[in-house]
Amino acid sequence: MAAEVRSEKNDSTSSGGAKAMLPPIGLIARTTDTAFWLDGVAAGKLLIQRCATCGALRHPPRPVCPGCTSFDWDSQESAGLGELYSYAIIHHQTSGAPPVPYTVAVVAVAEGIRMVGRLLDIGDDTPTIGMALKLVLQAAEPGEAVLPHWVPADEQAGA
Amino acid sequence: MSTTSNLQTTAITGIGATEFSKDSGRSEIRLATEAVKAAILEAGLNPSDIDGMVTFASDSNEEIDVARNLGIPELTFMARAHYGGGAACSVVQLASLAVAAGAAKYVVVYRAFNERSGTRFGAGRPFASMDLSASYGLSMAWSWAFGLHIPASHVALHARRYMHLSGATSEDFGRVAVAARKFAATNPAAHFYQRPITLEDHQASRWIVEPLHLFDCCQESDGGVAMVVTTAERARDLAQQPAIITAAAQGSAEDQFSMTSYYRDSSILPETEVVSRQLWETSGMKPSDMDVGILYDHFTPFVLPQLEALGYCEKGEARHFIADGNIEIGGELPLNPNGGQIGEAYIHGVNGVLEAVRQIRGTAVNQVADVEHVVVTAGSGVPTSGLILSLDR
Repeated sequence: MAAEVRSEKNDSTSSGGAKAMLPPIGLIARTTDTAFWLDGVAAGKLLIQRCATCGALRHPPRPVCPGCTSFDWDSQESAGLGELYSYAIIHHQTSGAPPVPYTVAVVAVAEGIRMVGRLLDIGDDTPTIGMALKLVLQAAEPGEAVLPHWVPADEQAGA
Repeated sequence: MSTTSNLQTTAITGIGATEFSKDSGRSEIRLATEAVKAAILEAGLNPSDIDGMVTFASDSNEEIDVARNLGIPELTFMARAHYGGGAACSVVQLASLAVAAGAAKYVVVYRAFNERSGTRFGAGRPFASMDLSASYGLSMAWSWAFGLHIPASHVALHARRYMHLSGATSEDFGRVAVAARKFAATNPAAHFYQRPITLEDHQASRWIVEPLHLFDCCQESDGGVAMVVTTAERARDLAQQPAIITAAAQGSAEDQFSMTSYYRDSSILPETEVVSRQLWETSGMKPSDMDVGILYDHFTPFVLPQLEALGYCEKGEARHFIADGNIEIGGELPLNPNGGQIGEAYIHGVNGVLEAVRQIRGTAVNQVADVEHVVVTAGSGVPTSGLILSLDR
């Protein structure tokens, strides 16, 4: 299942005073270990690295399976569902950071890995650990790269 | 090697420090050399006696610059310890191993920076000058790319999870800050000298990264600190009462990242558990044998799981240990009597090692009675380290 792709905010050609203050596109460097993941995001998928020997999933991407030390791997596409594992609300504005306040989550992705992403569309609601989330692939801020982020899975909250 | 018990006993002798400030008005190499000179002279040594140097991987002051500036003619041992504040006790371990093995006789350990008036760790955008395809930059990019730019943001995610697991609240974190500021209020060397806070002040302080208030965060400081490490036998012939290095350990744990270990299933601070296990095994002592604790307090929430990792309470119970007054004088483990990095200064934890030495000597400004053993920890949430320092018997 491909995630909902929201590409309208990913206008990397737009300019403006604020753009230079945002994290550089390509902050996650393209290496032989990460290219599959970046290509997946570009194709509208969240890919999870999978050991081709023992089948264990792992994130963030790395060259070798820490469980069995196999260097052989492939990937599987996430269904894009998860739960909130932890969250932080950034209030202190620093140079180069998105406009505050914004919320960053650690998400327990249903397939069994965790990842960091922005928690979007939360409004004035207080996040609760364990709340159901769903994946969105979009730029969290104008001028940023499209990355996997998360919104409440509740239809009303996440519409 | 996980223990130093088969090596010659070592000790910290002279200690030295600059004043702690928000704007030192002088170069980092000057701060380093001022602190190193003070430590050498306090030991009753001369610069020419020094033959080893250890500092942080992130320290800007080259060993050879410090040596050249102070007229130290030869060095036979140089080493650096990685992982930011996690190195605070690693540097003492490295110096201890060097003198125990005979690689050097008198090793100076130093840490000096203008962390407030110069490059501030809390200023954000750490990736601006980093190779993002190399090991460290790439591993951190999985957090930076999503808006986690400052250490407080990295710790906040662990803190929120800890609150969920333990039932701890912001007020439980606040009690750590209140205790630190109470000690700092009677320490003339502390930035927050004569400026205690209440729990209400803590709760009213602005959010930095929720659930961290401003007063949950340590200071950013300018300053330099140094100490001389040698064998206990040599130290007994010098000017200061030795602080015996009873145990020294480093620790990294499963799926270790530097402050962003969000992916593992173990406890909040398993690397501190690795250090704790070694400290108790090496020393043959137990938590209740310690008279003072110097626990790394860059952010208050991590003091709680450190107490748990060291064995002062069960997992999730540190809030009760603290609320019962155990981290104040008269409690089970008076904590950071210099005011810690929250109240005294943030010199990457090494000012805490100096406080441990003063407590052993009986010369601290907020002296705990009859101190025989002090447990010291280093930056938590990163690969870390720890010490037990003891009175010479």
